[in-house]
Amino acid sequence: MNLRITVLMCCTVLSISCNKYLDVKPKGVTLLSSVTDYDQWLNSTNIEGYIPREINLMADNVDNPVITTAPTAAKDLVYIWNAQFSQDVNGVPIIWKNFYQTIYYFNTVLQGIDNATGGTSQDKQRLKAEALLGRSFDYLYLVNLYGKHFDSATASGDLSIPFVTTNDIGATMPQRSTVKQIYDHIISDVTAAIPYLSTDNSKNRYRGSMAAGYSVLARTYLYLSDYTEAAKYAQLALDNGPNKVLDYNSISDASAISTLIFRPDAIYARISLTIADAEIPTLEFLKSFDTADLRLKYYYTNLGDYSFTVRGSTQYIPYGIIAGSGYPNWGTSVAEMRLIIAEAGARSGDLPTALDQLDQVRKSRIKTAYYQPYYSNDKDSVFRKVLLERAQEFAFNGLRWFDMRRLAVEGLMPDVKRYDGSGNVIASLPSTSPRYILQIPLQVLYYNSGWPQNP
Amino acid sequence: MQKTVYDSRRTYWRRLNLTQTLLVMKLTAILLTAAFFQLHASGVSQTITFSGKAVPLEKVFVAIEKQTGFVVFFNYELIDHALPVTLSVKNVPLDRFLKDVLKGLPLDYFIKDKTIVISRKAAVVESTDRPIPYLDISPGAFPQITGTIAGPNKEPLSGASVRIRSSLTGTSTNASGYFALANVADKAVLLISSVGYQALEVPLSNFLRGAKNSLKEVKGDLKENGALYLDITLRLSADSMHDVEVSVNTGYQRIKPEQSTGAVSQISTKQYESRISTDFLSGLQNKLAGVLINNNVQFEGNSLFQIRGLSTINGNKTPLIVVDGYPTELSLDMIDPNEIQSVTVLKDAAAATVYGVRASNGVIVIERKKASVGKAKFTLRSTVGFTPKENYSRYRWDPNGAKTSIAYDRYAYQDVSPNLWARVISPTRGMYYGYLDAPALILAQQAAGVITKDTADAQLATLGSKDNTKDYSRLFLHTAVTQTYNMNFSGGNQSALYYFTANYTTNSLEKIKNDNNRILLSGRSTFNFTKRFSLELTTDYQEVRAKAVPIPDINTIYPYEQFQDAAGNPLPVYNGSYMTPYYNAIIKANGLKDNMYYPLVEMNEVSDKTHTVNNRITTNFKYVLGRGLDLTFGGIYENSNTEIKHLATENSAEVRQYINRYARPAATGYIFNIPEGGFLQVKTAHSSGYTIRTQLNYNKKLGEDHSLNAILGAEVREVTDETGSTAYLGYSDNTLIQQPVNYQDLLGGSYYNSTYASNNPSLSFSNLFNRGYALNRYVSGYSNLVYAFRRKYSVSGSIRIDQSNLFGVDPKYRYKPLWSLGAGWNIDKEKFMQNVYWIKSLKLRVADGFNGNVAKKALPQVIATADFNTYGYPSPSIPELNLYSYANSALRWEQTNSFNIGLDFSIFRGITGNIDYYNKKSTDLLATGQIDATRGGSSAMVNSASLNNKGVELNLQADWITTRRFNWNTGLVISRNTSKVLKSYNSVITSTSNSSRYVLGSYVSYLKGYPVGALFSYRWAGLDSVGYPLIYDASGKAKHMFTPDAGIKDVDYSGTSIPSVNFGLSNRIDVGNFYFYCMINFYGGFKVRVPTPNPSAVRPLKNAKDYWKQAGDEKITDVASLPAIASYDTYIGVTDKYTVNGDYFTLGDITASYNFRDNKMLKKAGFTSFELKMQASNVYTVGLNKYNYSMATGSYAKSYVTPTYTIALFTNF
Repeated sequence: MNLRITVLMCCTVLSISCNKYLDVKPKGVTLLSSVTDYDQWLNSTNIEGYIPREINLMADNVDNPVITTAPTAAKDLVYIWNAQFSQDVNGVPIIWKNFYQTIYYFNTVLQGIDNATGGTSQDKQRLKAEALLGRSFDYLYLVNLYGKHFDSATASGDLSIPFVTTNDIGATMPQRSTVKQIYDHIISDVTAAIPYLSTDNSKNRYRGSMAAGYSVLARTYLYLSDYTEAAKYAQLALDNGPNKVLDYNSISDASAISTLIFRPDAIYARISLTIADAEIPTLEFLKSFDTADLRLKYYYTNLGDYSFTVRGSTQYIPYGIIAGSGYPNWGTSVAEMRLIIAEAGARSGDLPTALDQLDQVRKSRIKTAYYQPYYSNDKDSVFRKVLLERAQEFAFNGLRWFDMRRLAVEGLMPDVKRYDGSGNVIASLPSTSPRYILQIPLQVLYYNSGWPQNP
Repeated sequence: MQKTVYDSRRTYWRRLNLTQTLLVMKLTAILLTAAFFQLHASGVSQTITFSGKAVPLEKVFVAIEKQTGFVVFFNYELIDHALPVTLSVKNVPLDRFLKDVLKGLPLDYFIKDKTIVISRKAAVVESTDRPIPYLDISPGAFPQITGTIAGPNKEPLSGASVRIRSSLTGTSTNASGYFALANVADKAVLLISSVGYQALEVPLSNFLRGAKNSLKEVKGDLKENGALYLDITLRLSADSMHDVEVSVNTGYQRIKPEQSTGAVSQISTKQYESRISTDFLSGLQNKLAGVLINNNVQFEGNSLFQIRGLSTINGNKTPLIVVDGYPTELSLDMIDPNEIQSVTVLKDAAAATVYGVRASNGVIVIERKKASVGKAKFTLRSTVGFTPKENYSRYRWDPNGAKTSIAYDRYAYQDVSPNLWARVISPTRGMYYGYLDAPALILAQQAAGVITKDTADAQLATLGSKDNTKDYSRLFLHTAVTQTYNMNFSGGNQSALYYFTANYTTNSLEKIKNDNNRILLSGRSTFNFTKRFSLELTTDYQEVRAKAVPIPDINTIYPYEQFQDAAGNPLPVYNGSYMTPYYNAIIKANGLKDNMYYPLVEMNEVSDKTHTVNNRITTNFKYVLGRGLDLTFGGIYENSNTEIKHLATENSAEVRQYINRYARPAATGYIFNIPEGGFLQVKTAHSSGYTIRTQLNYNKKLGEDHSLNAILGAEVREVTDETGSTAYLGYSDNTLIQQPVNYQDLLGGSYYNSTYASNNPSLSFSNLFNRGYALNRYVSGYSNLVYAFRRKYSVSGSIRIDQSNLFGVDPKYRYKPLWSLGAGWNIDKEKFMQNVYWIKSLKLRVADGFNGNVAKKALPQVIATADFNTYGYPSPSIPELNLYSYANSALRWEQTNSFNIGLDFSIFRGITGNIDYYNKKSTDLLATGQIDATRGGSSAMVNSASLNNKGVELNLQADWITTRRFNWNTGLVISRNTSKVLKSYNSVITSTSNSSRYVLGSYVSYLKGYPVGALFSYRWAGLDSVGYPLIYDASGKAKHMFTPDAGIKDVDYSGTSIPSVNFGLSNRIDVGNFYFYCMINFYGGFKVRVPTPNPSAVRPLKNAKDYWKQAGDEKITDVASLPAIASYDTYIGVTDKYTVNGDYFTLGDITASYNFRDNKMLKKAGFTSFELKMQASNVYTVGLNKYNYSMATGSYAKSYVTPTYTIALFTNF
């Protein structure tokens, strides 16, 4: 009996000292352990600039006059809304991969922050809240890329994407959640996060803040078609953070726009993975602009006499004609909040609010000398003006595709067509097209053969 | 020991009956041998006082026994006719007394462990194998019993005693181990014994007709006439076990060969030292089946050193080296080739599982020489080796290389723009024209009209008349010399043994001013404090110094370039100057540094000095608990420090070029951002590690039939590696001061555009300054068990669990043990084999199990790397952490399942060998594998890849003829290994990959479905009418490369770049004190690429001058030439035309040796051995392909191998 106890004790002591012996910290690399580690982890460039440029390529405002007849490049397959963007099982599933990679960063924080050393409990809660917000923002993209547009009648049955919460690549993969489940997660996570988020992110707009939390909720409710809630949260975002749209009249060119990290009218900053990629706008889109629009002047080349007759001659340069740090913000901004409030107003018939918010944005974009505030008492006209303003303001920052999706469901989206160099239609996207919902990449289905594919 | 000596009391009783017995024997054994045994235990003296006249010999022996307590064994027959002894001596040493007594008699004696054995003098040995005439004897008895007694190695045991139980009848064996007895009762039991061996009882009833023989040690043969022949093999007694090297030493345990179930190869001192080895590894080449060592063939940039193929992708690829029982992390150069006692290679799971996660690549166990009890022995060894300089006249170069190069430039620059020259000498653009060689510059001047055609022709003719190979050889090369001196002395007594050794090696390499030297010191001692408690202590000190200075490779120097002018002043060469002399003159005139590279200057101004110091201490305590149990406790500490100092003075091209590259114009003159002065970079590497081990050993025979050899142990191991680099610019090695440098502006952030010399080499901050640190800890538990039944059957089992820091947390993998099981069957011990005399031994082994490998490039938790976020932050940026490796709880050790079946045999007289077949499957190999992107990325280092290795090995040792003065021994080792990648993720090669992915680079090294190191080639289809190279497409139609590209369909799989067959054939002929040794090597079953003949090459090959010049040439030449397609040369080089069979033979060593041990002078001087050896290594090679290209030459251009001649002196005194 005594012997047994002794042996047992020896074993315990041995195994404890053994674990201690093996538990040594490496150098040169970091194993996330302290609050500071997690804080720096959230500074990673990989979660600041990751949103795939391809989201722009699906929109109706891009053109490609030199597309080859049988495109094979992924970006061209995206452009013609091919069901799959790569047939190579060994390839990288674009778009899908970008968001889940960022989710990985946030999941790593959520998994480890409770056991982190150093820092106050507030610090931990703040970092946790930031991670919840960041992850929700990614799921908001994913659910709107791979799931049906939210329809309260079917949302609890419509499949979207798997809700991954672990950072262990050896863990079991969850099944695809429904659209409703994902939205529920987003709303509850962001709501839970907001109280713990910092009140000010002006030192680093990429990091979460209370205003950023509200702005993400605003965008979420907009996509849920709950405009009242959307407007409510948009206003809360403006009340708790920056609320002034940068006036392009106050600067000479895009190079004067502050770097995104400190940009005064960014609420929650994000940029694209390939931030320097120029885009070719469609002539139709270019023609939609007011010629006095400074956005054209600052970001579009070869404007000529604004007649826009040759496809491809005018390009959109994301860093500006006079190169600088004026890259577009792919996250939320003051302008987006204002236009959300405007849209809610237009939809609900609160035209004064809509017109006021519209004016706030437009007067900062149109040359003052030529500026005419927009006025209409026709609800539909105001609504369409707001939509146009959204299209122009959010031309190539990834938002257009999601507006197209919303409008398609409402029957407000005309058929979109792709033309080859000679003007022949090579692809078209009717508003009822299943291509508005991306297919699960086959590189992902390869590992999850049990998942149903989107049509 | 106990068993070999008889009970003295019983013997005493027998002595009383001595006279009687003698009478009986005289009567009954007229021609037969007889003996009796004398024992006495009373005396203690070793001197004899004796006086007597005509005393019979046996009485003298009785006197010896009485006075000394020694036992005298003798064969009655021997002394039967001996003359009586008349002698009178007082207090003479025993030795001397025996000599006197036996003087004039045909008798000899030796003393072993208080036993004096009297034998017939060797010179008068007559054949005792002759049949004994038939005798009429009584029933119930064997009329005659003859036999031989041998040790486990079939060595005949002379003087072994053969006695009949409960009687005084007996005999002892002669020098050949032969004995004979007559008329022995068939119920009798023979008692066999010999000092140092386990005694054996042989019941003769076992050999009666129809009876069953249960003894493994004895083979009986009952003749028609009732005569019985016995072939008896004695086992070593437990005490003498460790003196014998035939046991299999796994580093943890010694296993008797007949119990071993694993695949092992072993090489002994004699085999190892047949050739002169100045480094450890070369002495093993092709001597151990399954081991591939080749310095001429490379894979992934490393020479080949592998056991049974590669079994990992990202893990450690070299075999584990174990020295004196403990793994070493030190370089193999640190093993003194003069110290090798034995080298054992553990190849399969059964042999190597006990090494756990480091054993996948096999284990090499090195045992160094040990001291033996006795007076001090000294050994002195000295070798000198010479390797002559290169003979460039035997190279496959165009003998008129200068003319060919110039002619090609004329062809390439025939339409050159007249503007070129203006650009060359332009102060702003000139730096971009550094690629123009001397003839091109002359042609550019001609085109610009700066010089006339006649001048240009004259200048080119002057260039074309030059050939610098002789100058190169004279100025930069000399005969390489290797000298080694090795001294050791050893000795000691039962309670303390010592062995000290010192080795000094100095190498002067072929390239002048490049040399290195090495000092190795080792002290090993064993202390036996008490009967139960002993300590082994080993310390090693090793120091290496190497110096390297830049000597340009002759392949980088155009044949027409000169190193000195007529007055002997150094001249610059094209390669390494990075700009034309004309542009250089311009920047020099403006105050910058001379940018040109002068080889004769550089070698005096730049040096790399490496200094390494290693220490190794091993301590082992052993405590014998009794009953077969003992406990060992020990450990090893290793420490290695290396410092590499790279110093370039301000006169070196290296520093001048840095200064020019980073110079900026200023209002007046320049800003030298890199300060004037020398450049010193110091790199350090420090590594230290220890292993502590406790082990319980059990080795016991349980009853007659069972024996068990088991170990149970635990080990703790730590290895730390630290590296660092620091740099000094504007440095003076005299004053030791340096100057400040603004690294932030020069090397930080954005790319630095050079104003004057953008082609010059650049500096990199992270190369100049860096630190590295790695710490690995392991805790392991292991057990190995060998059980043998009646020496016929043995079963072995091993198990090991390894734990490491920062490793797998999933309990599913965490305590997953590696294990192996093996079984052996000594077929020769079976009854049905007893009559097959040509088979001396035959053993079948089967084993299966797992070995592991460490590849720590991922962890169960997230690994992050620190960096600075650059998204719009002004400098200094804010710190960020980025993902380096994903959290992976499913991370596990790589493992290799290894199945082995082998046959060990010993047949006829002196032919031994083994054959093994193995099938190894390495799974869970860490590779950058594709993962579900939903998990957070598209690829991660996961345990995903899998490899298979299969092979056959044959090892044969044959002593064809063995007499006392002559021996002819042949050793043959053949290994064959084929590998296949079963599973691997290759991110570069996809289903849509371009054909060039398959043929260029190493993307196909681990391509699924192909062997490791696969090579793919285009199908060469000649040149077309405009000089473009063509290939055949999948349908056999010739087409231009890449137009259109059909991916893998455009290429053929050619084979692997790693030899799959290698063999070594050695022959050694000993005649008296002379021996001759010769070794032939073969490497085969692989493909190599040969360079294409290319007229634009710096040193064009022989047929390069026949290049395509105009339409129609394609019918007579395959040499492409168009300057516009210069890059095609790479692709032509990867066609099947230039991808050939790599098989080659080399005549590796020819060694001759004579030992002057019989020389009286030397004997007098105290030498016990004085051996002079001469060796020629790397003598001849032949390549089995149409180009007769053998990789042993080192390069295609070189058509021969350069032998090394070594003379060595080995002495003992």
